[in-house]
Amino acid sequence: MTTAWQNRIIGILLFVFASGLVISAQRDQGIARDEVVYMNYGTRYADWWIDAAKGKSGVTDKDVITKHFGGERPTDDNRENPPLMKTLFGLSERLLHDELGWTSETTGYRVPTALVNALLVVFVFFFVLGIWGRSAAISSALLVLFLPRAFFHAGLASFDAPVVTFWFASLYAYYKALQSRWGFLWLGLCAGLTLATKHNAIMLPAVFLPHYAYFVWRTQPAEGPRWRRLWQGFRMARPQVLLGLFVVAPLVLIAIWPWLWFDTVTHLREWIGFHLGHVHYNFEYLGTNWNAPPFPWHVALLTTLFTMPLATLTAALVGFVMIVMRFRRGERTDGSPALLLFLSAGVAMGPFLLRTTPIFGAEKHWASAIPSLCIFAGLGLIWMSARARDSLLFAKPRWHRGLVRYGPISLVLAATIGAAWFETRHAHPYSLTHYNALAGGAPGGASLGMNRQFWGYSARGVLPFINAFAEGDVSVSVYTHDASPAWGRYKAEGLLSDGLPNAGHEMSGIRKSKIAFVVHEKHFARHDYMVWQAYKKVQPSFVLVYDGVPIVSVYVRDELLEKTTAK
Amino acid sequence: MAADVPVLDSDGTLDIGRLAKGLAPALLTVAAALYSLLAVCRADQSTATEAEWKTVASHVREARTAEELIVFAPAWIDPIGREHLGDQMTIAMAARMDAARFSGIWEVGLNGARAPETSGLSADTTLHAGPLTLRHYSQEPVVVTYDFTAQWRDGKASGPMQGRPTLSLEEVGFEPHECVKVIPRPDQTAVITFRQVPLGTKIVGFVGLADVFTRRDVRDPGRLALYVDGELRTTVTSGIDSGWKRFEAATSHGIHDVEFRLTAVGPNARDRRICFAAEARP
Repeated sequence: MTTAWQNRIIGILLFVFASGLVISAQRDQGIARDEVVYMNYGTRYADWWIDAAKGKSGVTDKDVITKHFGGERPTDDNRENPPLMKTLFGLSERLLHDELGWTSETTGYRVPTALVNALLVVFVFFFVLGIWGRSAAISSALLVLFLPRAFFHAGLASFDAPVVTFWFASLYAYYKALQSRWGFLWLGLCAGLTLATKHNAIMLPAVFLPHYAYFVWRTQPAEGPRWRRLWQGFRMARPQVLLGLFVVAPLVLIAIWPWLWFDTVTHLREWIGFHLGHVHYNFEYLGTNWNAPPFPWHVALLTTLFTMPLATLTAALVGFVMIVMRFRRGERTDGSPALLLFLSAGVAMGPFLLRTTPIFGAEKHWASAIPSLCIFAGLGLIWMSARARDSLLFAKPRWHRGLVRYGPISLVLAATIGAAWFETRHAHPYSLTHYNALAGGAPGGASLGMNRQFWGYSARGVLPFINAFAEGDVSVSVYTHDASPAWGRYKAEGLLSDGLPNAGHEMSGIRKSKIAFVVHEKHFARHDYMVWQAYKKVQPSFVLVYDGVPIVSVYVRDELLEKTTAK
Repeated sequence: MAADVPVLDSDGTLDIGRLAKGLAPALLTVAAALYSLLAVCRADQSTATEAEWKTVASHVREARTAEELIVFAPAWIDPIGREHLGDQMTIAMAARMDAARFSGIWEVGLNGARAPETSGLSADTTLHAGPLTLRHYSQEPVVVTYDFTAQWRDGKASGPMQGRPTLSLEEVGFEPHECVKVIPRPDQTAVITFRQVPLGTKIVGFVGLADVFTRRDVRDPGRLALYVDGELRTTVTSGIDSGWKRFEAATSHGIHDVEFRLTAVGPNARDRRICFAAEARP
C-alpha cells in the first residue's frame, strides 16, 4: 500500500472515529435553549429547499422566501443567523428520523454538526501531514477531538463547532491556493460556507490579508526597483486568492441563503448590524456578572487557559516556542503555515482584547483559535519526543536503543492524548461546568467565579427525579426555567413522563407550578428567590451536581412531597 | 522533525545539564498530563459526600437553637447546604439584612472556607466531616430599638415614584434580601418618613439596586440620604455593581423623626429599583 493510501485510510478512520464518538456521546447531552430554535427553523428551511428541488411553483417568490427565511424584525425566522447548518439540521432530521427511522429526532438534527466536526479532525490531519509529517498530524487531529468544551459543542445542533471546521477549511484551502492555479475556487467555497455558517467568518480577511502581504513580500524577486519587485511578487503569488475570498465566497453565501436573493445589500447590512449591536447577555467571569462593556481584556486568554486540557496547553506552548526559535534561526517553511495558524488564532481571539465584544458564549466565541493551538501542541509533542530521544541516544546496548527510539514518543503521546481523552470523557455531558486542573477542576472554577453553564441544557439531569412525581392523568405542572424551550423536545424524546406540563414563565409560572427547578448561573439567582416566595421555603428537594458543584436545584411543594412519600 | 541534542562531551562523558535540558519539555508535558489525570480522578474528593453532609446536618439539627443563623462557605455550596439544612432555615434568615441579630452562627465550610458573616469571630465548636468543617460561633446579638423594614407600613411615602413602596424579597447584588423597594421617577427623589420612632445610638442599614436586568439596561445609580429630625446624617450612593451596601449614622437616644430620601440619579435613571433595610440600634 502506498503512503498516500495509508494516509487516506487514516483520514477515513479518523472521520469515522470522531463522528461515531460524538454521535454516540451526544445522546447523554441535554437540549440547549438555542438548539431548539435552530432545529425548528432548520425544519422550515429544509422544507423550502425540498419544495425548491421539486420545482414547486412560487417557492422562489419573494414573499415565500421571506415567509421562510426573513421578515420585518431582526430575529424573524432566525434571519440573524445564516442558514447553512440549520438547513442541514432540517434535512438530516428529515432523512435520518422521519424517513429512515435510524435516529431519534434530536440526534437526527445533531448529526450534521458531528459530521462537520469530524471533518475538522480530518482537515487538521491532512493539513499537518502535508507540512510536518504523519506523527504530528495524528497527534494534532486527536488533540482537536479531545477538548471537553469543543466536544460538547460538536454534539449540538448549533453553529459553534461547524464554524471552526469551515474556518479551518478556509485556512487549508487558502494555503493550497497559494500553490495551485485553481485553488482559489476551493478557498471561495470554504470561505463562503464559513460565511453561511456564522458571522465570525467576516473576520477571515484579517487572517489572510496580512499573511498574503507577507507571502508577496517573500515571493518577490531579489533584483529590480522596489515597486516592480513587489508587483512581480504579487503576480507570482497567485493573486486569484483575493478573487476567491472577495468574489467567490460572497457568491457562495448568496447562493446558500435565499434571503439574500433580493435586497441583498440591505439584508447583508441588517445581518451584520444585528451582531455589531448584539445585546450583552449576563455572564459570570472571575466572580463578577458581566453584562456591559468594557469587559476584562483577558477573558479569552484566561478562559482558554482554564478550559483546555493542561497537557495540551503545555505542548502548545512548547510547540509555539519551537516554531519561534526555528524562525529566528532562519528556518522557513513554504507558504509560512505557522504564521497562518498564528494569525488565525490571533484574529479569532483578537476582538475579545478590545473589551467591547460580547463575551457571553465564552470559548465558543473564539473557538476558531483552537485548531491552531492543537496543531502547535501536536508539533510540540513530536519535537519534544524527538529531543528526548536524541538526548538518550548515548545508550549503547541495542535493546536500549529500541526503547530510546520509541519510548519517549510513546510516553509523551500516550500521556498527553490520554489525559485529554480522559478529561473530555469525565467532563461529558456537563462540559460547560468543567474547568481544567489549573483552575482546580469544576470546584476550582466555581470558587474562582467562572461561568457555571449556559443554555439550560443541564436540566436534562433532573428529569429522572421529576419523573418520579408524575401522577398519570393528574397534571403536575413544572416551572422549567431556562429549559422551557426544550421541554417539548424532552417529552418527544421520551425522557419526560406524561402529566408534567410546563407551568409558564417567571413568577406566574412558578405560582402555578408544583415542581420548580432553577439552573444555576449567577444572574439566575433571582429565580431561586421567586421560588422561595411561592413555595414558602428555601429547601430544594434535589440538587444536581457535577464534581460536587451545584448545577440545577429542584424544589417540590410540600403537599406533593408528602403525597409522593405517602405512596 | 529531528532535534539534535548531543549530550556526550567530546571525551564521551555524559553532560547531565544537557541531558536534563533535552528531556525537560517532554517531562514537563508528561507531568502536566499526569497532574491532569490525577485532578480528574480526585475531582469529587474535594467536595463532600452525601454521608458527610448528613453528619453535619444531624449535628446542627441536634444542637441549634431557633435564634441561630446557618451559613455556607464558599457561597457556591449554598444550594447543597440548603438541600440538607433548608428545613432549619426560614426565608427571613436567608434574606436577612445582616447577621448581627443572631446569637449564634453555624457555619458549614468546604475545604476550610469561611463565610464573611463569621469574620472576626472565634469558633466555640468545630466538627470535621471529610472536607466539610462545621463551626459554631457565639456572639452578642444586637438589640433593635426600631426596625424600619418590618415597620415599613408606618412610613409615609411621598414624592414622585413608580407605584408605591413595597416590602419584598429581592435579588440585590445576586443575594436575597428582604427590603423596602422604592422606584423614584428619573432624576427625582421619593421620601419615606417615619415619625416619632425610638432611636438608640445609631441607625444601621443596607441599600442596593434590585434586579439584574434593570441594572444591565439602566446604568445610573440610586442614592439614599438619611435624615433625622430634618438633618442629613448620611448619604450613600449605590451603583449597578455596588451590591448590598452598608450605611451607618450616629443618632441620639430618644424619639425622633426619620426620613429616607431615595433618588434615581440622572434623567435616564428609569426603573431604578432602590431597595433598603434599616434598623435603629441602642
